Amino acid sequence: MSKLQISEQYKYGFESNVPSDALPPGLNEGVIRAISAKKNEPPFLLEWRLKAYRHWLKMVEPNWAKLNINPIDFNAISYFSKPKSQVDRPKSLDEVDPELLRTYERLGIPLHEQKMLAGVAMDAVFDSVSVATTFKEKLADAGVIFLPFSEAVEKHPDLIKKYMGTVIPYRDNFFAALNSAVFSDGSFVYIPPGVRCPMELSTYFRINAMNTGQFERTLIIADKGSYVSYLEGCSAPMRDENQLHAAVVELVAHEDSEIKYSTVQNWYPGDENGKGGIYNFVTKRGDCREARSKISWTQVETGSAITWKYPSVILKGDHSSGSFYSVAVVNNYQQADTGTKMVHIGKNTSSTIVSKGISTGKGQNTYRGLVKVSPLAKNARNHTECDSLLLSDTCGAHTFPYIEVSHPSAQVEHEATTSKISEQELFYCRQRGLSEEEAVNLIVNGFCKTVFQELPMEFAVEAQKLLEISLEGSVG
Amino acid sequence: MIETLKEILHSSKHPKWYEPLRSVATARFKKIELPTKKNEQWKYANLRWVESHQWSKNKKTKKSDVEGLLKSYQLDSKDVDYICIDGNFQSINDSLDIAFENMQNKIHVPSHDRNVTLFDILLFAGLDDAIQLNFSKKRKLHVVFLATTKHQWHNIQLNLNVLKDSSDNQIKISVIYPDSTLNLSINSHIQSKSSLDLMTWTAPSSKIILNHYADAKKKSRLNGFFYNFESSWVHERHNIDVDAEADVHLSGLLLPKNKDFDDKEIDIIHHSPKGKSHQMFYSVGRDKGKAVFHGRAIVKQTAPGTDARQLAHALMLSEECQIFSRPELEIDIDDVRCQHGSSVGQIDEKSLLYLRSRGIPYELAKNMIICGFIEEVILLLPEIWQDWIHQRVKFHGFSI
Amino acid sequence: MFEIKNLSADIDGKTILKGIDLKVNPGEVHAIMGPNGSGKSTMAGVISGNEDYNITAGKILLEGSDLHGLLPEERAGEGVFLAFQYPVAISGVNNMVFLQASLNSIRKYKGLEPLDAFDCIELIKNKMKLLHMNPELLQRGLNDGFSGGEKKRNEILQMLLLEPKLAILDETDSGLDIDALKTVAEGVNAMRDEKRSFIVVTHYQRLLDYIIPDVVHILKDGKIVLTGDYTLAQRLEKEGYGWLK
Repeated sequence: MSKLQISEQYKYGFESNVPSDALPPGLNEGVIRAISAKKNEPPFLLEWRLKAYRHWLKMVEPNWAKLNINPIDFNAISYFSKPKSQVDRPKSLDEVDPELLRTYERLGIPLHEQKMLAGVAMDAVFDSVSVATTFKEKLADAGVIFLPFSEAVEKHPDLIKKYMGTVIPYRDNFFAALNSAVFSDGSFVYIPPGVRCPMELSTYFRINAMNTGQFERTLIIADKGSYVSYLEGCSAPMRDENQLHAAVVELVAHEDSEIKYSTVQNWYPGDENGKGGIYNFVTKRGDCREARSKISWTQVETGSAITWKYPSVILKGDHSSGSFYSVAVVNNYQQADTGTKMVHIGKNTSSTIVSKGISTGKGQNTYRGLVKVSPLAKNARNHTECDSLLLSDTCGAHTFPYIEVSHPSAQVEHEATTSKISEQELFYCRQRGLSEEEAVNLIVNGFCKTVFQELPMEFAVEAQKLLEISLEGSVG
Repeated sequence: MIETLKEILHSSKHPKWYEPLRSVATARFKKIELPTKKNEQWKYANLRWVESHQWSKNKKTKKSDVEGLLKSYQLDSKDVDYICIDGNFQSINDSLDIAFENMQNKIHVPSHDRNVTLFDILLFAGLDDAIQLNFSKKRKLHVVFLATTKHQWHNIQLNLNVLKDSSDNQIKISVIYPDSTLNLSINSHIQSKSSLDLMTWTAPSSKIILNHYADAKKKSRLNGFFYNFESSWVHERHNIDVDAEADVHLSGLLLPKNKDFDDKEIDIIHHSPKGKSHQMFYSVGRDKGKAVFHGRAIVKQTAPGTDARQLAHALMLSEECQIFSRPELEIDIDDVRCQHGSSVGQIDEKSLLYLRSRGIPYELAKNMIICGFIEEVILLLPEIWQDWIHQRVKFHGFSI
Repeated sequence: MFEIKNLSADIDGKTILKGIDLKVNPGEVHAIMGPNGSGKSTMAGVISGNEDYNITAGKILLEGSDLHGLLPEERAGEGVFLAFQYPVAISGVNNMVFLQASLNSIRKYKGLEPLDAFDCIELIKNKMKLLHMNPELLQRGLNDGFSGGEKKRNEILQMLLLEPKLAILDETDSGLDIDALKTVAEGVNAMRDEKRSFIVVTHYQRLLDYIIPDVVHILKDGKIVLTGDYTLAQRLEKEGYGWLK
């Protein structure tokens, strides 16, 4: 395959010429203090970062995932980079560097409100810093707080203090600890009691600068009886070296509330020889803290050289429910080890897992999922469906479910299949005049349908297109 | 080193040629500790009994005692072909078979890099006896392992060599180790176009650590039936290589009650085209029983046309029982048909209502469904073994 | 005589039956017809003692005694038989073993001696001949891998064996081809006598061509809205359920 074709495939792989204000590579307490100082953070946050850092030093990188990873030199990474013109945060979109705005337009994410997708409020994180949040007033009218994380720290330190780290403590795992020490920005959402968020909230993440790690942190709180749907998109320029992305996302759902979190992840996957690409180590967890709360994760993962992520739900509240819908595509030398954890603690809790893995090229795709029913979780229900589709004879599809049941009233079902695309289906489509590639796309889309249905409309279309691009040239 | 196991190292006899192997294994054993919960293989196991137990040495046993012991498990000494009493094989007179002293080059201490545990090394450091049984056409054997006193621990290796083109071979292995432990390693070589049915059964309150390695060559067939459900503590590890067009079926029952622990870890590896493997393990948990199924089907890139299936279903009948199920698939090629199904739940309400609406009382209907569930697995057994297993299942508390 | 008085029932808080009255004399065949969701299967389930339904009012009387509080197996012992619309399959439970357990459980309830295995097989095989059933089905798991027709015949076989006082056929015609339908009808007609009552629940008139009912009831929204003779079924066949108000 020629270089040209590849660039076409990863159409988000351009580099923006925006001068950046970055810390030199390396990690020590000084760097953490510098990050905190640059962001004018209150002392409690610096304290927390330092605790996380000291704990991280004692930890080792996890090696249980089915991933082949080149060693990461954590001292070769710059832990902070922000576009120069952003040194003083713009007051409105008019003050945003036009080059930056053009970048977003090329990404298909216009930030100008008049051009915006109807009903979607957008926060864009460029390298480490949030550049623009739209629809602020409309959201404020509803009482919804949707802010860049650093701004939320300034304006709502109490909420941050109350919730940050309560779902994912800094000790949780190696990458969560690292994130807690060095996180730069991200999104913060708070939906007040009884409020149905009037529009979809969305954050677009982009890594631009070289040798930069992105460590964003997102915290979403749905107070009693509220509802929010949140979308997250990601992309990065094509670079020969691997870049690290270690994010943390915490969701807290109070009584009768619902959080829908959707991700279309399209980080640069590396070239056809496996060179470059994002290392994506993400810790995402939702806490159904009170009765009848609901958390749903939907993800379409087509990018990244390495994906290591397990969006989970802790079902603490009685009658709470969690779901995980996932499409993960690997091509070339991409590797994904992804899945979920559903931990049933409250009574009458239920969870649903639908995972669709598609592998082609030399890609390695692993589903890893835990369903745990604790001794007090009366009447827990889980249904898991886990299917893998293989499109080449050099790829891999792996399924590692962990089912741990300690209450007899539980009903846990797990089904999985692994197969290649059906010759019969292919033939049927081609007999009706479709090209082989079109036929594959059609069948793959059908395979993923139950997951796409969970995505908001605009994203579902984008996800389908992404899937087609990711699989281009993979047939035969 | 685990102090309580020291005695085992001193008690074993062996041929001269084995001495160097034994000292290598002993040296390694001294450096090794009991696996902890951090070790994936032993995640759910409770191993405290190993450290706290007092082991006693073997004693001389009278023949009449042996007969009586067998009888108490509905076994007749006339139907037993080989017997291993207190760690020593006896009455080996068939020229096809090979005793410990002649097993040079047939016993290998596992290399360092493999996922080796304490018990694997202990097997070689404290190897009590070893034997190789050869199977030509239609050989049917019953091998009994017997501990005549409590608190014994033996390490035994059993090699099964099924010769080329020999079909209809069967071996039934009965383990009677009340309040004792058997650390047994079985190496099965199923040569091309041959077949073997292998069943293991363990008597109540026995503890068994079974390490089973099998190599199913081209067009061969291996049926493994693991019915160690009466045992109070079971850890089985199966490592099966499946060659081209070979057909491997492994099945069994896990029926833990009281504080029983039954753990099955299975790796089936397909290296070559068109192999077939089925795993079918059903569990019924009672009291504080714990059942673990950790099955893995691995299909290498060199194995197109593989058909690999796993079924792991479980019924929970008590508040405090626990079921752990990990049916894993690792597939490296597209031309495969692989699936697994796993469920954990209770007796199906619809089935219960159906039986009751035909006049069958609640308790009976419930038992019929539980026995029916167990029966699905038993039906896979060769007919000649079914009756006896039915008796044992009944003795274990499942009958209509 | 079988009688339902002002019966109301709900499931998960949703009211399905809203005051049903029905009287079936010995020897009579009553057909219950109605559109989907009218409560036909609920009625069958409530009579047989399905604990998913919650009876909120009314009585169900068989020969004058109230079935209320009786377990499903006790109702079967009293002579209530339900041929299920969707008979469950239980693969490990041998069909023969099941039939024998059922037969002897009901004999025991009635205070009769159990039949030995030999008599059981004899009896079952004779009844199977009537229904043109393959004796091999006895050696399979209960309904396991049975075709739609085989399942329904297995239901009718059980009815013949258990000789109930009241037999309820719930959509027995669904999924049957015409030959199977005739065989099933023959089985039912062979059992019609002055001591036994039948309730035939069906959506279509088709089955009623072979099992001629004495009375036809139309159930709609949990109530019996119309009662008539066989001609009512014929009218429904021609005009559908639309004309019902």
